[in-house]
Amino acid sequence: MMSKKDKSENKSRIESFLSWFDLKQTIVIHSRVLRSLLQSHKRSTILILFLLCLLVLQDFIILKIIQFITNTIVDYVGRSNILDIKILYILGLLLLTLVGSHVLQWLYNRVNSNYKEEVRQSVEETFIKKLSCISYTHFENNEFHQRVNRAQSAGAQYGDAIYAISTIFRIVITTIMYGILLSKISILFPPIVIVSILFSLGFSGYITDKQLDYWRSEVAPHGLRYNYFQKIWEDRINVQNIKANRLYDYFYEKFSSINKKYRNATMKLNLLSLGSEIIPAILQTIVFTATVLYVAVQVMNHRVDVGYFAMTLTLLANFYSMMKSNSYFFLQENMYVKILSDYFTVIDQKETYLLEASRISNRHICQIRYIDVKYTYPQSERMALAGVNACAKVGQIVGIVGSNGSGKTTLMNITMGLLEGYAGQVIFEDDDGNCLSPEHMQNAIGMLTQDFGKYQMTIRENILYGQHPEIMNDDQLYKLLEMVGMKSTVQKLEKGLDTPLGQLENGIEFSMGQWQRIGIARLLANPERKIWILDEPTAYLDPIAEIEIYSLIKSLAGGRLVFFISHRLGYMRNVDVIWVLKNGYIVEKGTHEQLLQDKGYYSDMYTAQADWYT
Amino acid sequence: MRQDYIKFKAFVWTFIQSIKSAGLLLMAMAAICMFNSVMFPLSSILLRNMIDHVASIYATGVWKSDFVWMASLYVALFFLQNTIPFSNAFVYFRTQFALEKHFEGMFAFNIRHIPYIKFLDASFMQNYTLVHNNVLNICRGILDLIPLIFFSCFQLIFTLVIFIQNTPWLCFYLIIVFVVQYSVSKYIAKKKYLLSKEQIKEERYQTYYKTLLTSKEFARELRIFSAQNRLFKKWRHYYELLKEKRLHLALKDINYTALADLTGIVLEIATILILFLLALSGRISVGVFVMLYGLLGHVREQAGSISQRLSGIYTSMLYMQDFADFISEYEGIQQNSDSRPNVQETALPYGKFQTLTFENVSFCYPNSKQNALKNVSFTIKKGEIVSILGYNGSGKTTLSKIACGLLMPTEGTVHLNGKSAADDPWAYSRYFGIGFQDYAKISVSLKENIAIGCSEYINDNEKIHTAVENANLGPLVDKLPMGLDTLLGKDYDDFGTDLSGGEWQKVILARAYMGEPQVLILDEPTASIDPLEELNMLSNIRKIISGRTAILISHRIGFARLADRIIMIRDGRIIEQGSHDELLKKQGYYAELFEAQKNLYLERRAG
Repeated sequence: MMSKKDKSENKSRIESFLSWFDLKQTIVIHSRVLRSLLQSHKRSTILILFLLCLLVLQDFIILKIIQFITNTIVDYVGRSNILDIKILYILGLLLLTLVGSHVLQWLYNRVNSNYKEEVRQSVEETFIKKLSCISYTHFENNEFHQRVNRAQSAGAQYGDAIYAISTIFRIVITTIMYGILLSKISILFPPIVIVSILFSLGFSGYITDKQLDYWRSEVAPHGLRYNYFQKIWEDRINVQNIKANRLYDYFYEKFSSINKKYRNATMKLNLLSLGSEIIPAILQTIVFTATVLYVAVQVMNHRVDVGYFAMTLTLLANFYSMMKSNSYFFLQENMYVKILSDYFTVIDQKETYLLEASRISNRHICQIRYIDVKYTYPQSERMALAGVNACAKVGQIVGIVGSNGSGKTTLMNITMGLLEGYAGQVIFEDDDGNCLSPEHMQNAIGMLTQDFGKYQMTIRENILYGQHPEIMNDDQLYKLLEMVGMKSTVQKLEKGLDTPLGQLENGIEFSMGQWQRIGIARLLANPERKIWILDEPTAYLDPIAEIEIYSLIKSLAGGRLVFFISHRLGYMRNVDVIWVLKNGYIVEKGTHEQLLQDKGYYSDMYTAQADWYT
Repeated sequence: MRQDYIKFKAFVWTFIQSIKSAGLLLMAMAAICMFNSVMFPLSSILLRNMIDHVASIYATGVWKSDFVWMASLYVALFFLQNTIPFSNAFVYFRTQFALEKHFEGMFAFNIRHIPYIKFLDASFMQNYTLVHNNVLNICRGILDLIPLIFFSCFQLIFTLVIFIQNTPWLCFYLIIVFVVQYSVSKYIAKKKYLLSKEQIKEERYQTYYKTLLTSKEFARELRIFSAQNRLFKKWRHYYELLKEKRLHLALKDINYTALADLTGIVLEIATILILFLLALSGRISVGVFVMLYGLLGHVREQAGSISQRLSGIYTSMLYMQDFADFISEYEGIQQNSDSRPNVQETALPYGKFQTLTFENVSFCYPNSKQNALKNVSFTIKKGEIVSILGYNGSGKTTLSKIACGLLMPTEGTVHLNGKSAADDPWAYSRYFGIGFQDYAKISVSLKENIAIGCSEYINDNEKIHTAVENANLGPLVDKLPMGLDTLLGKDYDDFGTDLSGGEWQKVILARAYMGEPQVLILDEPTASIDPLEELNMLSNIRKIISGRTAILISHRIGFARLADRIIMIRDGRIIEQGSHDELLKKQGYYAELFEAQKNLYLERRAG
């Protein structure tokens, strides 16, 4: 019985052994890939593996044929009667094998193509579904964001992983087959050859580990910079700057110097790999030589036939060339392993939403209470919210004021249930006294922010974003547009409500003001949402239009709870209560008049603005 | 035929460019390939001899000493075959870098000849991006050519020689196999190229919907409005369209290739039959049989790989043509954009700044039906602070871009000190320091981000510090981990620092101040800065600009108060001009806006 200590010692020994090969992550990722393939595409995967086995079998048969034919020639040479049944038999076999192998290869290619595309689609789908359904908190986490960026190409990389697995599979089975063939001469042969191969692989793996470290620390950073400065010309905005400030030489020189550094780093890496390949090559050559000589001697002593000699030579040559072409691949494969490990990290996240979410929220909320709410963004030291206490009642218009970074957006994000992991409580109370938390209330909230989505779809789809396009008929939509003052504009358009917006469909461009009104229409298209969050919704409008929009919102708000964030303190006189945020706290609360009387922070800000404008 | 000729010309041109930049390296690659190409044929010959020896030993029992040195040579070749490819990789990468640098350089150099207005044209941008993306493909095309000729072709030639020595009629086999393989590969390559062009539309849709579902920018609305399912279905629709096309082509590829292979197989069977009979009748030795059998398989593989490489090169030729067209199209347009030594402002062709005049300037964007600017005329004198007030879509940004020399008016002229801006665009742009509304966040150090405001002073630390002071960037510099040398942006380095919108705005201000330009143009310099802080900035600006001329473009009325003169723009036309007091007296549009704003604050005060 092994003691716990022994077991853990063994485990760490195995781990260190594996890490010496730097195989651990590779094995983990590949086995994960294999498992997920067997789960999602069981039949196709097994079919592919089966075909691979057949392909290997075919190699085996061809080798046997070489042996057979060579022997026949040696035996029959000089004979006058060559039309023997044996000859015909050989010819038939040859024909069958050649045609059969051809058909098999064709079949394999067909199945493989289909398979790769199916798998790629399912990888992309999983990725997209996951990202669209995880909590928004992840997007505020920079490290996660980087992972997502790296994992973008996972769909394409999956193909490499499949190729890797099938190659390993093929190598293993081929090794077994060849071992069987070689065991005829001496039972020692298979192990010797296998050990030499394993040693070469191990050695390559070890060097690859060193190479990878070097690559990660020296080469990859250069590579990223290289790509960045190469792509810099493709962004119109960069070109604008380059032209206006005559920066052609500057950017080209930057690119040149990075090209040089990247090249030098890559050269060093290549030298390393050159060195690392020579030793295994020497070893393989020695084994190969020994085999050839040994077999030749056996032939001379009539222990094996000439055909066997020819077959052995061919077998070994094939085998070594197969291993050689795959050792390159050990270096490259580690790059996609990292991408796939990022991919798996992303898709392992817990989902907060359902793809087919139900949209109805039947609760009649009467107020929202914030109790000592604190929040710090991931990787940030400062507290975005340092303890917010407040209460907002449905039917109120709450104005929220504060400079950038005071916590306004954070507070709203938490209210909308987008951020998890905050301290304190945010409670939505309904008429019956039930308490709900923000995650369940998303469908009760309508948002319109400064950077609201201007989707490159039709007007109808923009207004009914997220809803079924037929949930409102044309009349209802025009009614909404009339409420926001866009009816005539849209009616004049040739395709009316089905006019595409944006460059994607070569549609028309709306001005900011027009977009703003569409944004409000979008809010109105979800009339059951009783809580509105408006975050600087009129940043791009002229003062007259701004006032119009605000009056509009006020008249359409009905009995809703409206959170209204703005820098224009002049509008704050129209709200029911103002919350003044500073450094993550609500420092002042009250109506406009009350706060002016208090002569505090709000009063200072307001007077400064008023002075400027009057 | 003519098409092929054009492609061939482009190919030759590309090839000559490559020789210019990496000639020696290419020759080294060629030499290594040639050396490598001999390996397999030689080892085949040795194989033949070895088998014959073994056969004779088997038959006669007499040991021949030749066997030993033959075997050693065979082993040596085996060793070399294993190691030479790596030295080739070494030269390959070095050459790749040299070629990439050269062609990127050509591309980048060419940009100075392209007028900026082209970059606002969607179809130009599509072609431009495509051409740039394919620089890599072009390099690869040249790089694949060398092994193709010096390895594959040479090896094939050696094989041919062996065939001719032993069984000359095998050459026909080779030729037929090759022709069939090549035609198929070329056909497939052409289809692939066409497919990639066809797919652009679906690809864009697919990418757009993927972005809507997975990027941070749209993440909040996606969740609030529960749009995941609907968008996902749209994405899937376009993805599957793409997939269908790709699969269709891939299957076609496989079928055609298989058909081509089949021809090869039939021939191979026939050939092996004949060889077999010859061997049996003693006309060829068993060693020769084994050697030829091995070579046949090898030849078929080589023919396949040559065909693939050739068709790869054929595709590259198509890209080379696109590239050559791109370079030659703009070569003729001289925009006086060559680099010049730095000169003092006073020594510039236009002299010290006195006036800037717009005379009946109109401008129309590509593919637009309406003019963005209609018949705009005004003059700005030295020392004036002019505010251009307009709302979204009024044309004020267009005006700023024409003023700084980025865009040329479609009608009318711009005069600097009485001389046309078109006379010397390079010198013209020296007079202006501009802060764009759509500014560029470049992932270089803070210092460089500021310094690129004026390329002539890009290494002048003193000027950089002045700009930092003027923009009040001191506190930000202190806050950053490495001060001015901090890398901004995490585009390629996780250790870079992200700045907030407001912080970037200050950097852009410093950029505009770089080199203390004679005319400062600021387009919406406080868009990301909350109006509460904006007031601070506004009070500073006047102090900083003192003496020089400034054009402040914004929709915020605060700037109008700051200026000596206000120009109001709406729908591309100037509707009002004058000082703040003059315009108020006029009781026009400006007055209306100002009053509306004022009343918001006044009402309460009165009550």
